[in-house]
Amino acid sequence: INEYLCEPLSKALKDKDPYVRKTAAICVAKLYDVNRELVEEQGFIDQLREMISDPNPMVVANAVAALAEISEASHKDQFHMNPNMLNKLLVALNDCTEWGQVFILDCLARYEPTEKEAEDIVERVTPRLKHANSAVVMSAAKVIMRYLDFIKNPNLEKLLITEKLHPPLITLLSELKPEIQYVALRNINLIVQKRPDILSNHVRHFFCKYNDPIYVKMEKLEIMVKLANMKNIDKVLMELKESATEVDIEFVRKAVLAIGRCAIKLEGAAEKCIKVLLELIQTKVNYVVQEAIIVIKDIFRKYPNRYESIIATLCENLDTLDEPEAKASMIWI
Amino acid sequence: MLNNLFILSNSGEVLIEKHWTGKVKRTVCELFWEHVTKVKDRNELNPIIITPKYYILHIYRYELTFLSAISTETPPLFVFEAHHRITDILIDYFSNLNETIIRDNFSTIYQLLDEMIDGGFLVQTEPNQLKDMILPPSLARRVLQNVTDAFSVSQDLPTGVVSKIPWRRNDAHYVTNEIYFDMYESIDAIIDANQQTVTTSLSGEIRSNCRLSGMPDLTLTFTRPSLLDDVALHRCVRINRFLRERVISFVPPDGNFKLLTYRLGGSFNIPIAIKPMVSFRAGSGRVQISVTPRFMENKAITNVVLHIPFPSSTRATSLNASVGTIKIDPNTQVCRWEIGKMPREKTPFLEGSISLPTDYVNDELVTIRAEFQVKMYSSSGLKVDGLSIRGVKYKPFKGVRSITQAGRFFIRCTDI
Repeated sequence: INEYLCEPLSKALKDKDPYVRKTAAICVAKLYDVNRELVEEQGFIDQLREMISDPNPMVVANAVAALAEISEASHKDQFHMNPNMLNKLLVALNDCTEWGQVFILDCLARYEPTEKEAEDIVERVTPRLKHANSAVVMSAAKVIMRYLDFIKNPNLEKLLITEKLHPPLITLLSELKPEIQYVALRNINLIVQKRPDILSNHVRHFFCKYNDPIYVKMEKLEIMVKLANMKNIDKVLMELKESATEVDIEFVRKAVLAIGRCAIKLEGAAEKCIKVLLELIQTKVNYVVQEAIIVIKDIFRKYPNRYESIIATLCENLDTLDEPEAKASMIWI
Repeated sequence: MLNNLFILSNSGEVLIEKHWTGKVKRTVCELFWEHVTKVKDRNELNPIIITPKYYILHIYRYELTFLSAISTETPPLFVFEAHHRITDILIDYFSNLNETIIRDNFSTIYQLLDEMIDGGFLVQTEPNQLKDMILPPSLARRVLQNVTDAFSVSQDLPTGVVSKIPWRRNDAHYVTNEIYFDMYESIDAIIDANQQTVTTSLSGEIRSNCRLSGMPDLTLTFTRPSLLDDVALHRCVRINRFLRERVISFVPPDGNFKLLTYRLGGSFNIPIAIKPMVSFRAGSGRVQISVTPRFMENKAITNVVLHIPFPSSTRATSLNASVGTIKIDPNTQVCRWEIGKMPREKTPFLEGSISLPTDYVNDELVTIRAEFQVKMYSSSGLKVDGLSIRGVKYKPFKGVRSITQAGRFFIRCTDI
């Protein structure tokens, strides 16, 4: 039956009515799923590429989505990106539906631009950071993050890093829908590893709210450690100390671990971190004490012969140790 | 790409199953439900579950699970936004959402899913267009369907389907043309017991109810446009014009919609101050909390409620409040102090003691959650300056109101 489809499909792709054209675009992707050779022989993919200049935005959105699907399935770039195609995609970005915008942005993110192209595209993409649809915002942020590598103009680079990128990311965190917060946090984790400057002045947005779901809180802790620096360590430590008094055991353990990682990361703050860890040990809560001892062992490994005075306090708690890792750490100490 | 959608009831039963590409077996839902049984609280289940063959993405709303099993590389936010959009459309159609409503309307739901998504692509998510194609249920239509063969799907395509303004239908007509804007500002805060703010932020939302005929082109201007920097705009707003001139220029959808959300850091007025003094020890505990208004000389602070979580091992409580009522939930030991409207002359004050087991160890922090509302007030100072309208011959009635309320507002208590 598929072969009988080809003639009508080819006509439909050029039909006068945009509703017909937009549906035909999706049909090509569905047909590709079923019979690849047929689609490639009949030149439907070329027709899809031409449809990116269609006057109707819905048609463009579907053509882009279909090409993206086919590219994914064939593991080959079906867009044949060149400056001409690039321009067509950028024009379509403004007009097509939000779902089509996600496909176009992801397609741009896979492209390797020249320096001039990178600057132009970033200028056209930055407004998308203000869209209400979080998928559009995240895909736009992805394009900008990728293209930052290609931009050599230091002023533009600084503008993007210090001003343009952090507001939409923080807005995603203020969403009331925890799934969106979670995906945003996972992406922010990666962003912060590559360019911590984007968010290093905004640690307070990652402090855990009381009724955040546990999976959101765990990600926030991770990011807090990555953003800790000598300017904000006092606030971060206070927040981690509060977190260590919460109810969920896994979360508390992670908070204690985070304090230790801050000490290892920031030599100038190690003493403060140790002070907090000792205070937590005084609470005599079993899992807190054990986790603290494990992490103090790592601090001793990083800074030998400096904080040995606290060993006496640690020894007062030998009886509470029942986990193997905690016992091993104490023995090493 | 949304390959499939399963809607599960609160007991894991599959209510709706729709596949657009590929064929995922129903057993994926059983696999998902195994994870559900492992968590105590449904809201704590990670929304993305990784299995050897699929990524299972889900949202949990109205005690229903909307689930998709994805096997190709897809932006996860795309899937979640699609789930939320589907949920919003269902609410728009049926005013509410629960297991019974899904069972009663499953044919409309399947028709909607068919129209909204084709081959895994989201093609039609504008509520006004869908309503023109698949008519929402009403008593008259139900009777007609049962008595005759009448379809609930219309025979013609709606007018705006392939236009550049798909979110608005061409033939809107009202006798009285009116448009209302509601500005809601929510204050999120974490405040410690010394009245020092650990972190505050303000998130605002402008919602609109548009009852205008024809195709009006609106421009909304504000008194302090520099406040509107960090925004998320509805798809109908012209983003480039906003970036240039800081005005909101748009052709509105018909009916209710969320025009934009904005976020402010920095300093702004927090209408109430809460002084908590709490002490929980072995055997007994004392609590003293006072609530005072700030900066609000002539505006009323209403709907004030404080949620105070007592330790779960609390045996008995003896509390007195100078204003309002106190109710303690016996299951969670959370005390709900309902003050209502803040009185001018008295200061609301709660004090009392609780009895705890003799072996109680104080290892839990007490965090109080506060709710409040101030009508006709915006904490940020953002006000609508004017609304100009083009493209129509009538003069509509325009209304604006603002409300400031507590968002996630927490006060931490330290021990005394």
